[in-house]
Amino acid sequence: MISLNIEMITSVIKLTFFILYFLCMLLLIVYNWLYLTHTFRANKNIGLNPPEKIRHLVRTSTYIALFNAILLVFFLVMGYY
Amino acid sequence: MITKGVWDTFLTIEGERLLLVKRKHPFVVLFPIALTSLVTTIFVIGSFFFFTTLVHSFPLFIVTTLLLISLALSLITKNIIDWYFHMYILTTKKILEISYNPLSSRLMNDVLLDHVNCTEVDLRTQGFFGEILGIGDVVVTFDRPTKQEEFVFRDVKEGHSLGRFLTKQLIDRHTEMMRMQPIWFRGYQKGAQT
Repeated sequence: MISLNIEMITSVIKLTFFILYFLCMLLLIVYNWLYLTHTFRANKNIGLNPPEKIRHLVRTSTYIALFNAILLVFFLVMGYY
Repeated sequence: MITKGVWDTFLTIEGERLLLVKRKHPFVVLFPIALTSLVTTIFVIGSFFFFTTLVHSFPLFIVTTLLLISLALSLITKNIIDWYFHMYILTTKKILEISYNPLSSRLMNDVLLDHVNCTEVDLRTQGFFGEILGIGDVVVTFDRPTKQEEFVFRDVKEGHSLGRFLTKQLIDRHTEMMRMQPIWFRGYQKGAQT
């Protein structure tokens, strides 16, 4: 009975982690998109252009977050947690 | 003294010439990047132990690692951009500070040199790294009719040479102009009626 309870608590903790991570990744993707848009608006705002490498850096972060979100859904659907 | 780049957009007054374009010392951006990388590594190691000993879930460890890397990359980008878009510009007509932090703040602080009188150029260096790497603040004080205003070049590289350069450009030049054009009397020519 006790071991069953511990298992239940552990799986609830894992599920909570998955949901929190998923929300974090969605927020991060939105933030990255907004940040990139505003960074490249700098030319209009202060008359300067950002370096092109910044675009790659932000995109890499977004792609990792996207891949992570897909991986997370995959783990949740297949029950690998 | 002029950082590489296209700065024509800042020359807005007729006959204006660029004298100086400077960013903060690269250490100012390298230190937070190193710190972010270190903290991320510590968190990844911590999560490895957490997800292998307490909550037994290897998929969660993978997801956590990827999330941490993604967050670290975003933070590093923010640091680089904040450093890149913060600069000090000196022209023959004005002194300008520009700072743009996307999604948080924008600052444009300019002083027209014709309207003020530069009275002091001070240098201050603080801390071990400041002394070793030559990072310092150069404070330019302007006398305005109503108040005194300070313009600070914060955490710049080679503060000593910048201080000397600013003294030459702002104080010596002004003194020279004052000597050429006295304001308290007009010189009279010999034989002219008084």
